[in-house]
Amino acid sequence: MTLNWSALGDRALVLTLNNNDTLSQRQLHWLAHQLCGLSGVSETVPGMGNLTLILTSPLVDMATLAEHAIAVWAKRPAEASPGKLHKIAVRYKGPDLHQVAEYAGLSEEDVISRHSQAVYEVSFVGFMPGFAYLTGMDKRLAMPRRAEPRLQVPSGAVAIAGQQTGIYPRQVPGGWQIIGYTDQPLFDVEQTPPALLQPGDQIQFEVSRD
Amino acid sequence: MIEVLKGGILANIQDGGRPGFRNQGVPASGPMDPLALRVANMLLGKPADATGIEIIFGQTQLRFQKAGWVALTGADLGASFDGKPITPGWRFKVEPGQILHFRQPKHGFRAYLAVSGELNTPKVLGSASFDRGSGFQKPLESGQTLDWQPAGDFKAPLYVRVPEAGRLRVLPGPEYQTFDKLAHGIFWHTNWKITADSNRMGYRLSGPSLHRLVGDEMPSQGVVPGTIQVPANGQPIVLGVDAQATGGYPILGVVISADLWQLGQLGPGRHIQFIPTTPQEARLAWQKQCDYLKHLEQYIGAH
Repeated sequence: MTLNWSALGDRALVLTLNNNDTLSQRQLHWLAHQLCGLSGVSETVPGMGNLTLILTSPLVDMATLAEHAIAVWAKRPAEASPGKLHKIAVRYKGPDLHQVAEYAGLSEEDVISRHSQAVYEVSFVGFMPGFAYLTGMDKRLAMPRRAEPRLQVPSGAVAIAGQQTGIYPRQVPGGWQIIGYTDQPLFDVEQTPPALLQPGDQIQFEVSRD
Repeated sequence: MIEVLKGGILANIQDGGRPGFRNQGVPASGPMDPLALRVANMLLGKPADATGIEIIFGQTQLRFQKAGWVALTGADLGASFDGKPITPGWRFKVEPGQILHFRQPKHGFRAYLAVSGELNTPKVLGSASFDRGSGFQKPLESGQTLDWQPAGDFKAPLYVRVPEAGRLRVLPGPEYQTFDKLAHGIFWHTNWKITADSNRMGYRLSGPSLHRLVGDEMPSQGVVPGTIQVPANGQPIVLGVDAQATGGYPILGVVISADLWQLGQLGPGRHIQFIPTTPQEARLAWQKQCDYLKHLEQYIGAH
């Protein structure tokens, strides 16, 4: 698995994998930990099959830093275990559950069981504080975003967009299909780290009938 | 105390922002014109990232309830101090009851006010910075009071000349080559209009459409302020300091660090032209800015 790099302006560089799977994504998280705190690096930001290094100044030598990162990558562990497992209770009573079932040609119960049986993994956190991009959703449940995004998606909404699923940590406008809700807090500024779900963590949704 | 008689349009508190939390989905934030807040703080002998007030185009009125020193930099928003006009670049003394009043903008978009001593405002993740997208802090509201503990004294008012916004130099981004030659020409030669849908998170531009050679979906990656994304509609978006941590649109270019502050002085309705540059020039420009700040600090220190 080759790691290439490109400059993102004068203050960041992006390390990109030529292709990506769950193992290499975990290895990228390992790489992020290795490079964190390195001289010249202020932040490491995992993406989907890539890792962005934010530099402390435009005077940092990018090529040397990238070479170092690639050399570290060459020493990555062959096996990389996932992070923490979280079990999150979901009330599958979202306003779009019916449409998701219809689109997939499944019953609502079927959608619920397929969505709650999968084990998801956090690819990266982005979009808003504490929002985890989850991989591992049943392909049958894939559905495009709503044509007309909602002005407010409530905090704790469990939703689907394309082949992704995720939970809204707070109330924001959004176009994902809402299939359920959770009361689990996902972002707490008093905690370290503040996001509950960290890159590499695994998630299982449990059906709550409350 | 500082009393907010009128909040104006989105006047807000800013400090060095909250870098270090991007992998938690948290934007870096901070002043849209970091150079201006830095110079304002410098005029009062304070650290570069000390807390100040970002004042945006529109009426804002502040009443000082204590005696102390303040510094005003950034845009010329027609400020007057107890009825006397005051241009950006000044450090001056305030007496209890005096009012700083912003009226019609004359030049630029964001003004910065630093105060001597401490401005104590609540912090989230180590920063007092307002970040609307994340819901951290609120803009200043009429009737609100800010806890201000003035400290320090200076011999006299002082004026420094601050650089004026002029050009935004841009380095080609990772997806530059996936746009056709025509798109490259349009990108560099268009006088892009900043639309009304612009904010600290991103400036949406309008102009001719930019077309990509390939239409593939991009995997999301980390983005930085100054990143110029091009969504499918072909209209570029320049990300501001409240830029989301990751983005999934193709990146045509990135504004160089030394010119990024200028974005803060361009508001909706204004036009932007991008100037191609090289990594060498970007480093040189940064070095030049560092040298300018060093000289300025020496000059201020001597007064």
